[in-house]
Amino acid sequence: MSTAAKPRQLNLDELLRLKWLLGGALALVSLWTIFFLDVEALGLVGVAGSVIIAVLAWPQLPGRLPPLVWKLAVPAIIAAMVADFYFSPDTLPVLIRLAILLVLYRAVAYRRKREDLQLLVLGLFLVVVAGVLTVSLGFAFLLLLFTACALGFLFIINLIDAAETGAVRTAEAETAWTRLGWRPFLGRLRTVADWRLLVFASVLFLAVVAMSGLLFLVIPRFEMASGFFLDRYITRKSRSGFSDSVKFGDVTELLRDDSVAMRVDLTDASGIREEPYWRLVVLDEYGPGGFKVSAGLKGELLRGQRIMQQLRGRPLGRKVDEVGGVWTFYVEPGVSRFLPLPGSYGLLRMRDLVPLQVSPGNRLVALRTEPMAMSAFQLDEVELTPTLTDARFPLLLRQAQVDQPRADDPSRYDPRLTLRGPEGPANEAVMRRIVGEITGGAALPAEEFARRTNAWLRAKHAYALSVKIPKGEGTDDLVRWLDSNEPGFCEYFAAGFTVLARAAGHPARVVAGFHGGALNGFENYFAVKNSNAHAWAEIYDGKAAWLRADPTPGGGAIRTQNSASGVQQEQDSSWSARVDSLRVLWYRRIVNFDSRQQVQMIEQVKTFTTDSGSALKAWLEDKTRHLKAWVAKPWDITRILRSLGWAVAAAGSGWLLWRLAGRGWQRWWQWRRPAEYDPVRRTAGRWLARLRQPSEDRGRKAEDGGVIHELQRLRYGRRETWPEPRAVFKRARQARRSVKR
Amino acid sequence: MQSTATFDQSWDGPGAPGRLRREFDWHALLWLLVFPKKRHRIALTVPGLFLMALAMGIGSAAYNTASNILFITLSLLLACLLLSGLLSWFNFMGLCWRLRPQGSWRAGHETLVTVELLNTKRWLPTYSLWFELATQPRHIPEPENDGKNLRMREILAAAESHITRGRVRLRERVEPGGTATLDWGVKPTRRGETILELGAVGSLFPFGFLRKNIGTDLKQTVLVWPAQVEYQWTGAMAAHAGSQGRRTARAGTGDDLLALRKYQQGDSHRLIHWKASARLGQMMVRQFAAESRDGFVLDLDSSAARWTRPEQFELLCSLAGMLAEDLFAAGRLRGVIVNGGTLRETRRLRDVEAWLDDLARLEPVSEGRGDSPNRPQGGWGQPPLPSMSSSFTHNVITFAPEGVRGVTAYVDGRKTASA
Repeated sequence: MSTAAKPRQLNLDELLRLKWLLGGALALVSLWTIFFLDVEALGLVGVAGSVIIAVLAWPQLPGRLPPLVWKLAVPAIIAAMVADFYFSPDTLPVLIRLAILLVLYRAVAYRRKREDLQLLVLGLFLVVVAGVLTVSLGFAFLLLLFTACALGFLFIINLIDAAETGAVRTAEAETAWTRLGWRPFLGRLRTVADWRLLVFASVLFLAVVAMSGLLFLVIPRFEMASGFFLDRYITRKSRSGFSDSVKFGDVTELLRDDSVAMRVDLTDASGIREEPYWRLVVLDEYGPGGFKVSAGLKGELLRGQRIMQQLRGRPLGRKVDEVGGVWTFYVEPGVSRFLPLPGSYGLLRMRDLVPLQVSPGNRLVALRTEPMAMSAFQLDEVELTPTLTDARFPLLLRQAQVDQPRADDPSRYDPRLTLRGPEGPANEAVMRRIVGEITGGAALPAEEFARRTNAWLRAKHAYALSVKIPKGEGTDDLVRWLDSNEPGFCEYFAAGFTVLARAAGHPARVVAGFHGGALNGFENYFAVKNSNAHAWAEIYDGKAAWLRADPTPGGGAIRTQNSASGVQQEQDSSWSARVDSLRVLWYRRIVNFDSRQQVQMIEQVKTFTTDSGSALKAWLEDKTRHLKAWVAKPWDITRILRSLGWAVAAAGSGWLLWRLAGRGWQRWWQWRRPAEYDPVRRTAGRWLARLRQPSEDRGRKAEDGGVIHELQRLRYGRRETWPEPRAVFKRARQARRSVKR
Repeated sequence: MQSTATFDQSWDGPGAPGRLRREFDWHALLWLLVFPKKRHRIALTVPGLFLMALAMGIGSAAYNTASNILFITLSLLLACLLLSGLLSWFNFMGLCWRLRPQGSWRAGHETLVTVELLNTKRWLPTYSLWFELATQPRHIPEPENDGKNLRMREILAAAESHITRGRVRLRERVEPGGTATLDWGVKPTRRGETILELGAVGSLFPFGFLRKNIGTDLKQTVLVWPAQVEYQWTGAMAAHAGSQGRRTARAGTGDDLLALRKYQQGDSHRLIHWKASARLGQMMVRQFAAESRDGFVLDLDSSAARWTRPEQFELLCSLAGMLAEDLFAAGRLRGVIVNGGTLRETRRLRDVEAWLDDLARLEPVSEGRGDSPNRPQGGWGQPPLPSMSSSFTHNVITFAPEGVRGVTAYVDGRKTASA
């Protein structure tokens, strides 16, 4: 090797120790992704993480385990996997747990190159699966962290390959790296670290990220998708109350959850005058425990299932008062398989072809299964209206009254369920009495009945998140609550309204969804939280429409289209809103990026380039015209002198600034590295380069070799041996002139 | 002593000094991205193949499911591959190398080839290189075919047997502006001109996905002197000529390095060449030349008619070389004559080296001494007579084949030494 000063490099043992550290970091990052998944593996992750941290801190620990442990490890993992497959209903969580065990095994054992690569692949599997299933913003951060660790890991493996001589080492020498102390090792790392290389590596990593972003944008997209296959291998329970059956309390449980359930991107939020009702699920069948989607309605949804990407809501040509422009929904996983609809719409557009279940009469659209990841869709021509047109309902009701289908018959929707309430003589007696109190014995139209019922409910019951049902026999809980003065929450109010309406002979049903939301001040979108969960009712007006009725105190009375109570949308500009806006950007720009947006982006780039070019051209033409006009003006001595003065002043200022900048740079450099920086040495170095160059160009040496010797002394010699620098530089200048001649 | 090889001191490689820097050309750069330079090979390693398969798998899954998460992962994998190529290019940038054969080359004798590496980059080090070296005779002999037609594979295998290949690895990084030297031990097998070639410089840097090899044209011709051979002195001449066929181990008054040879008991420890000893795994000492004194003249006749067997001819060259060295070391070598030419006096070490160089290149000549007007012919089996052009009539050593395999040296017609 070179006989110069020994370079600062890590030896083989130190490289092995660094590789161990990076391998452990990789394993921990990949295990971290499990926290984003909703699989039963957190305990296993905790144990694995602790063990990995322990062996990172004490690398000699694995060497102390008896060989039998290592021999039994793989059979134990296989046995655990088989048992897990047997007992677990889903495939994917089993694979994830297996991957965790394998990562743990690899991270803890002493590895050779092949095993290092296995660890890398296992970690990548966990990261990618978590990302694909959750599409969360955290995945992006973890992927970048994983990539950085992986690149460093591979780099160190390569250096180890080069450093190994191939000679057989004793067992003691093989594990010498585990006995390195942390302090000396970290001290060595600090000694060896070169800030220039670290900056270079950081710049390269940023370049990789930028390059991958560019590749992501330009990779052509083709519409081949038919839904993500992994959905089939894992089932998830809805975390919200919006499933096919809603028991009393399900919706209210969500009110304590402040996490965002969905985000709605609007192209024009200015037209929104009221808090929207986001309609998810219609519960038409009453039972003592609560309301649920009837078998007939489920059957109708199933029969209406088609694989489609677009769905027309309203017939074409119908004029409506549309608001909001294009509504883009980003619904978090676990909310519901039913799509939230704020009102009537012209067109519903999914990201790709998916199986959709549709009930046009009930204005319900549902996915086939609960989505594992965030689901997105768009609505056009949305009209926020409290009425839901359903002209076919009276006909269906009459037919059902004639045919008398079974209530639990899934092959046919039974509209008579919208007239059925609590059964039994005791229940009916109470219901009759209450209805009599409300109507005063008169037969009221639906709208008027709804108004009076809302008033009656609000007068009798206050709002509270907990309900105390009075004890009693022979009547349902709901009926006893209605007959009491106990407070209640939205489900009880909605259910109470519905059963009262049914008792009065008006078809009615409960609807669950969200109400309201906050407008995010950063990215102009609606953030609807789980705490906005709400239940309300719908009553048929006897003609052609269902009317929305919200009897919950604070929820408002029945809403008509011309309601004068406009609600100013609250703007959320808090820090959490700022962070949440990043998530919307992630969904908008990355997750939802499809071929249409790719084409739009290309058109935008093209338009931007064309417009910028035109603007620049116009600006240049304008400046040229001004210049020509200025030159064309009559010149006199005063004008000439003034112009010259300005030119000289501008040139002088520019030169002064340049010199100041150079001086500032020199000062900074001198402050940064006082030992290395010396202006005399720098100048001598410059003169040496100048004197060398002309002599090389002309093929003869500089005439004054003595001056070169003195310049070398100034450049490389000790300060005490320096000749007078100024004189030397003067002679160098003369020598250069003579060489040039 | 050093062989008079044609040393090429010029550097080679992307950062070789004096290399013409062409003006930047976009077309050339784009073409380079698509079609690599001649002799630049990039091959996938096993991890690289796996990475490609992984990228293809993720790409297929991404298109199949239209999942942007998989597209992100695919983009990141592809960007990492690009980064790998970029860093590999940086690694080779500003690098230059040259070959330095060490000492004299002698057939059957271990010697060293040094590869000198210079990193001209200002602040980026260079890592993980290897150098593929090879030596082969300039003229590879035809394979023996025993009368039957040989297949191409056999011909190539026979040719390959004459080529010695080796690979030396750079174990530590080369600092910016720093140098490194790598030694390769090689044992030439044949006398004559040998081509020492640096075939390629390769690296797996930075991640081990791609094996990049830069082919080089760095070649040097090295003369390999004849092998050392044991011989026996016979008769009264043995005392005059020196020791019994072994090289003397005493230092001469000159300070020219003659060769590297194995340590013998009695050698001064100051003569030990520690680096060569470490590389070859055995003690090696420097051999310096001694001044010659009055003595013998070697008169060599390489006529093809006399020397019909190649192995005997090789033995002739070896014996002639050994005698010249031993006599020169004893100060008893006056000069040399080849094929009836003029006498070349050997006063200095350089003359002996030139003689050894001639021996390295010596081939049987079709016009023998019989045709030379200056050389009276002896009969077959009789010692060849000294050249008529020589003014020396005594102490002239001539050579003749002995039997099927041997060679005998005659001094003034009397048998003196044999090998």
